[in-house]
Amino acid sequence: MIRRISGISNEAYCVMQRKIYINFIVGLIAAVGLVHSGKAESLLEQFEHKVTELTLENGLTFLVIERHEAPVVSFHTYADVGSANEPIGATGVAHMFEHMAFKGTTSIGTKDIEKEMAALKRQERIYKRLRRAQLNRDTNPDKLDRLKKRFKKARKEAEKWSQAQEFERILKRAGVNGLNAYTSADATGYMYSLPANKVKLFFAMESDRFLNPVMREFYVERDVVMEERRQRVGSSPLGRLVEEWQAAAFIAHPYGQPTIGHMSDLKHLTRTQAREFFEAYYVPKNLTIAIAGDVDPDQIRKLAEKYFGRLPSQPPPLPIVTEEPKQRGERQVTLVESTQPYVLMGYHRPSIHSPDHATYLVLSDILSRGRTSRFYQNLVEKELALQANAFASFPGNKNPGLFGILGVPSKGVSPKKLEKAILDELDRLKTEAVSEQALERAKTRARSDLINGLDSNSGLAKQFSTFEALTGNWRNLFRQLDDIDAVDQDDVKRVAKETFKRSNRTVARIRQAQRDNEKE
Amino acid sequence: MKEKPITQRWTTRLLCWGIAATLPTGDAWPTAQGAEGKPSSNEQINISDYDIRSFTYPELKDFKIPRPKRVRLDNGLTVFLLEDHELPDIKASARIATGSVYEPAEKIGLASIVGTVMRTGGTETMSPDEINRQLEGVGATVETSIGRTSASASMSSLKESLDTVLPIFADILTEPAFAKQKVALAKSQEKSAISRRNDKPRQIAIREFRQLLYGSDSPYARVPQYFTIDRISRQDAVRFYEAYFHPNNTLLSVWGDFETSEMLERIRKAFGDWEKETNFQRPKPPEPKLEANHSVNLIPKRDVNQSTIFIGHPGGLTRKEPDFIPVTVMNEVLAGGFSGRLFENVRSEQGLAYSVFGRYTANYRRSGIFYAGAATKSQTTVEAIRSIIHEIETIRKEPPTQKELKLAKQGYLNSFVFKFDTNREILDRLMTYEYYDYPKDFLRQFKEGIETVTAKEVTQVAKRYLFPDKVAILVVGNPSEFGQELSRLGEVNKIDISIPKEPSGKGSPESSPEQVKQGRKLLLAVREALGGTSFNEITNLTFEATQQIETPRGTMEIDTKSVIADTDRIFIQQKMPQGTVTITLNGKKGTINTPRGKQSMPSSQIKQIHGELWRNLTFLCREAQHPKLKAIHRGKTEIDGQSLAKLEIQPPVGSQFTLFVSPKTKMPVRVAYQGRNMQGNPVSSVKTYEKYQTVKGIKIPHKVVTFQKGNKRRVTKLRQVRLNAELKAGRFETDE
Repeated sequence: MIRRISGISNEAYCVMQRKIYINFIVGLIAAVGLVHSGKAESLLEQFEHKVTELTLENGLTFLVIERHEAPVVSFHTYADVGSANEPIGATGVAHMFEHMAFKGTTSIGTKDIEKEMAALKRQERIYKRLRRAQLNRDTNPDKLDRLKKRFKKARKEAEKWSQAQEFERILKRAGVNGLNAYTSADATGYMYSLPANKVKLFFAMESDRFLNPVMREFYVERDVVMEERRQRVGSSPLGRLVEEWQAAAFIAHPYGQPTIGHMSDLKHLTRTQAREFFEAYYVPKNLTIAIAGDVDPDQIRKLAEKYFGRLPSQPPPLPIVTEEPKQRGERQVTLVESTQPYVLMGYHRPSIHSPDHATYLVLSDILSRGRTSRFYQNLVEKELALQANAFASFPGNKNPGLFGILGVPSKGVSPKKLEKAILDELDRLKTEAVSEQALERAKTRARSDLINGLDSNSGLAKQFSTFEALTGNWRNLFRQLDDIDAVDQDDVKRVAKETFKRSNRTVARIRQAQRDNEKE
Repeated sequence: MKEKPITQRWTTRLLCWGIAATLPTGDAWPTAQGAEGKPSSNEQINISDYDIRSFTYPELKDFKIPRPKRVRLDNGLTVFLLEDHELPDIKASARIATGSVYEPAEKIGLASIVGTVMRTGGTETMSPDEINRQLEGVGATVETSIGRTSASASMSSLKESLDTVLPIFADILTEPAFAKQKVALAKSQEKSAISRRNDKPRQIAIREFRQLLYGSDSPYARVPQYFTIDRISRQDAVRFYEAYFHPNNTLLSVWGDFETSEMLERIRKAFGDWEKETNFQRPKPPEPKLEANHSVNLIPKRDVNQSTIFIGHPGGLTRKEPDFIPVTVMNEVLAGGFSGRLFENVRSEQGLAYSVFGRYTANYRRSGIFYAGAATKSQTTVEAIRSIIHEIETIRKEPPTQKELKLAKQGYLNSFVFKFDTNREILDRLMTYEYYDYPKDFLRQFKEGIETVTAKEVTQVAKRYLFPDKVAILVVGNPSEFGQELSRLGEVNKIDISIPKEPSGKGSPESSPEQVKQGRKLLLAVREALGGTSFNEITNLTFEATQQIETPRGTMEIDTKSVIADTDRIFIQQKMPQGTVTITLNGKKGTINTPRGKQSMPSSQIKQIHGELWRNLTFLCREAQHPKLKAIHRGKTEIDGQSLAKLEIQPPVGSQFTLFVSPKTKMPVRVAYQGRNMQGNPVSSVKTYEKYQTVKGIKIPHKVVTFQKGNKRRVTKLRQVRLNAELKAGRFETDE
């Protein structure tokens, strides 16, 4: 029952749709486990022996986590750039580049690189003229047609030299497992696993991927991404709602932008824009690579220096300067749809760097983790909600974002009625102290979540690279969470009071249209 | 082409803020926020000085695949144990041979509810809340669920909490209490889920595609309805549980931070008292009988801008059959990852979809299905379908290239090690092989088979098992936006997915032999009351009537004439203000003649009219002995203060309906059925029979009033009835 309706996250944009990283944020938060101090220390100690850190001269950081159980190894490249870094007019470009990162390099995926590059340049030149003509209202339609034809021809010419699938084919022949990628508001991640004897292949492929990417077949891939948008947003009631909610919640900060991008932006994205975005953000200092599995750290060091040492040192990009101003009043969006209702609520909250971050994690746990949670007992068991979830940060946590709540009303329950019940629960947190047992449960659960998250190479690689990049030290995966152990009843009440204010709230809901008028 | 450094363009942007969005100067676009400028790449092309394709690698070192210990307890419980001291936790997973295929058809949803309430409904010794508090107090989880052909239970615990968690896990499996209010909660949740099942295109497509292939009543495709959930009681849940949850019908695996002998002791303690069911026969899943048929099916959904497409047909292989080995390679060539033909041609080359997929599946004991599909923008629906079918046709004709074959095989063989990289996978596989009685080294045999597959074999199996001309095509989408008409692919069958509130046709409750016996008796009594042996004399019927139809623009009057000869020779004439429409049915053929011309009718419409014919009382009574007609006595009900017997009729064609019969006179006073509204959508309908008059010894209602959702919609008054009239020659000729 509980898993019947998937949660929401903007993390879900990956090159392949088979694996959807919905649980990434959730998993991350869970992993920010509340470890009972002594035990956290011993676990951390255990990992101190297994982890080797190295930073190349160009600033690229590697984490090697040794695990010799099986002769396999997982890689996770965490790029500290996400859709929040996109400029207005080019939303979706971060995700677009993620797709491009599967299209090969100057030595992988081409029949003749000289000819191909020349064709790609020509294609781009024509596209820029076409784009300008399309955006100019006075363009003569004949001219537009001519340009379209020329562009199509130029595309075909470039494709003649391309073997874009070669990148994946090489990996597949080598026995790759779990090849995928994701883009979120905060980050872009690339991952796969290989048999342990092929570690060298990763270094050769991945360094070339970020040193000499060609971004071939950009314009057909743009069509693919538009289909992805239609699938995730255009044809999904919840997808549409999340986009409206997010946009309403942020008036200044790019966290209000959809990671997949606006359709009109996608339609006009250029390969040049993707290249410039790549050049600005995929600098070595902005990349963290974690490698977990049956590997030898000395060998890794040599390979890292040889292959990734080639990436030229460059200054890291500046952080986002835009700050979301304090919200002045409640915002509401109502979508009238032919489908069943949903409720989304969001309250602005500070970033992961805030001392209260831990308290937000505890709050989301108390509200909706498990069958002892407030939402389960008072909303689900009372048949008001089929499901109700709190999530500590949305759409990211590198910058101030939202504390979010998704409510799925039970059959016959109006969204308003469920909203009222959710607000009652939030009010209780402001007025009554939470029980010591509930607090303890949250802390214990965090320890088991942490341990559960450490049992696979891919999970380790992802979590370690994320924590290293986001907080500056992978140890915070274990350590930072002592903060959470320190959270007390007063913290919960205080943060609830500060956060769950009407003027700090954005509500978005789907209300069902009257059946008879709306029927097919 | 030389490009301006970004810093320069940044300035341009600041100066031209207002214009930039509409009239970009050159291609000056706002650069990435916060990015510092640096020169872009120049003419020189950087190329790595190594060739990845020439890399050689050391042999993958031998590694010891963990070998779980297998023990069978006295009560028949099979246990697999695997020590792993990496992390301080312990996990368990159990599999029980049961499933929703065994639940009664009138109680679809029962297995799912049992699976939910085993966990939520408490145990003999602990209340639901107590279990939740105890488990969550130590950060542990226990979950249970029942799928189509197996049930599972899982446990995850920190090592230090095992004393708390293992007994709860065992109790949930061996003595769940099914607390009444938790059964009610689970039922309510199932109903909420039903109410939401038509919101997501992919969910709709998957469900309806299964129904197309297996039939909507098949245990492998049927879905719960409000009324099947309503019929489920706590007692049903208990009975279902008791029928299947026995130690000798259960496999259990445990892995994690323990000593095997000690863990075995704990398991004996926790599960030892679970009583063996003597003479237990493991249930056998029903064998679906399926055939492939070409059809084009549409589920209209207005709130989408993309079509979800499924194409396929029933499969013919189990995993054990040798042909499934080349089929596995065929799957890779057709749709394996980024480099399968479908992905490459439909997605990468044409940009028609983000999501594109295809697979020929096989189960361990039963054959699977073949499916392929994509999600594409509404405009390119037909194009995408054609592209996919083209690939299915091509793989039957063109053997994979050596490159494709090598890629598929190497991909499989080189990633083989990942089948052993987690304990969960290793144990799951062992349990699966044990469950289905497969050899322990089945996977190794399979791998050796893959090594020897040739291109010729792939083409052979593609020809043998793929039937592109017999695929069912299903589209969930918005037809008003389609670029080409779906009908270009064949006659389109519109599927109605509205959620029924009460049984009709689909998902009707099962009937006891007694109900059938009483039903037959009552139907014959009705026949007796309305004319008895006089019905034997009827060779044909002609009805002439006036219908007053309520429309949004007022009452419309039409004159109708129907001539019914046999079960499949029918003539209908309707005189409307706009002109006359005649329908002629003869056998499987049918034509419709309107002021705009004559055309043949799709078989779905012909079937519909045949189905409606059975609701004609006179016809029904004449055919009361039809071998495929089923009559079921559904007890009594009270309507408008009158007690009436409910007689459910399941005709040989069309959907079922219920006659409400006066117990005294045995005359039907009304009928309830699933009719169609003006837009052609199904709607629950009722007709009342009034003014019975006798014609040649047969009582026929001369006034019939139709209600839809309780609103009066139509009044039909018979002007003339003729029995055994001489029929016009060529009356039923359908040729154009």
